Amino acid sequence: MEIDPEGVELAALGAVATFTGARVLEIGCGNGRLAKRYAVATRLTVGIDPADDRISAVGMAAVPALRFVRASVPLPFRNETFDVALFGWSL
Amino acid sequence: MVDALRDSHRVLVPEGTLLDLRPTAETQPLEATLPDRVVIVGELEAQSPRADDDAADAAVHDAVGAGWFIPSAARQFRVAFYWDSVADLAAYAAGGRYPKHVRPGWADLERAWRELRPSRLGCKRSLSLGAYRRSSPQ
Repeated sequence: MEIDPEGVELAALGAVATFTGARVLEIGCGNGRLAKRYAVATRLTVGIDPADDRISAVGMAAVPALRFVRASVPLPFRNETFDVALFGWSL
Repeated sequence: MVDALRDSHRVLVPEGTLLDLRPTAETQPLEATLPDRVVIVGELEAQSPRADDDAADAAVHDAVGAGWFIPSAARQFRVAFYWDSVADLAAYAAGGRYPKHVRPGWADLERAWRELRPSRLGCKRSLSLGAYRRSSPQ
């Protein structure tokens, strides 16, 4: 399966938020499909998902700035840690 | 959902951005790509329970009403999905938060695939994107 080879989704996200150099939290990242695409421009991207199988299926992140963590609410992060919080198909 | 939004407010820096990206419930044409043309071979129904959409909308509304976030942008756009086979599409349809359905049915789609021998199947799904600026006070 291939999703959005034209990059429409990324362009839309980039039009309303700054990802370059940002610290991004994606809540409900699933298999990391979206995070893997935008993380390359970020300072840090953390994708979290409550499902063990989804996080374990993500595999190694090829982008150094990208981390995947099994987590949910309450979010295991300090106050004012991220510049962008993204609910990607998860709210 | 409101708890997740409240906690997002906590971990965001002042003036940080909250993004709510969601697929729109809909039924879209399912297209087979041939060397010289595209043929519609069915429909992909990707519905989420209306109650879930309403709950998400209500949570965002409450978060804005509570003063945690200020709406800054909203848009809708369409994203292309492609599958290399009917089995590839079936795996997608069975996964995710909500199962998807094809019309008229899988047997008809298999038949169309064998007859047309397309290079791939595709459809476009609409997504909505809401952007919100985090308000300064905790």
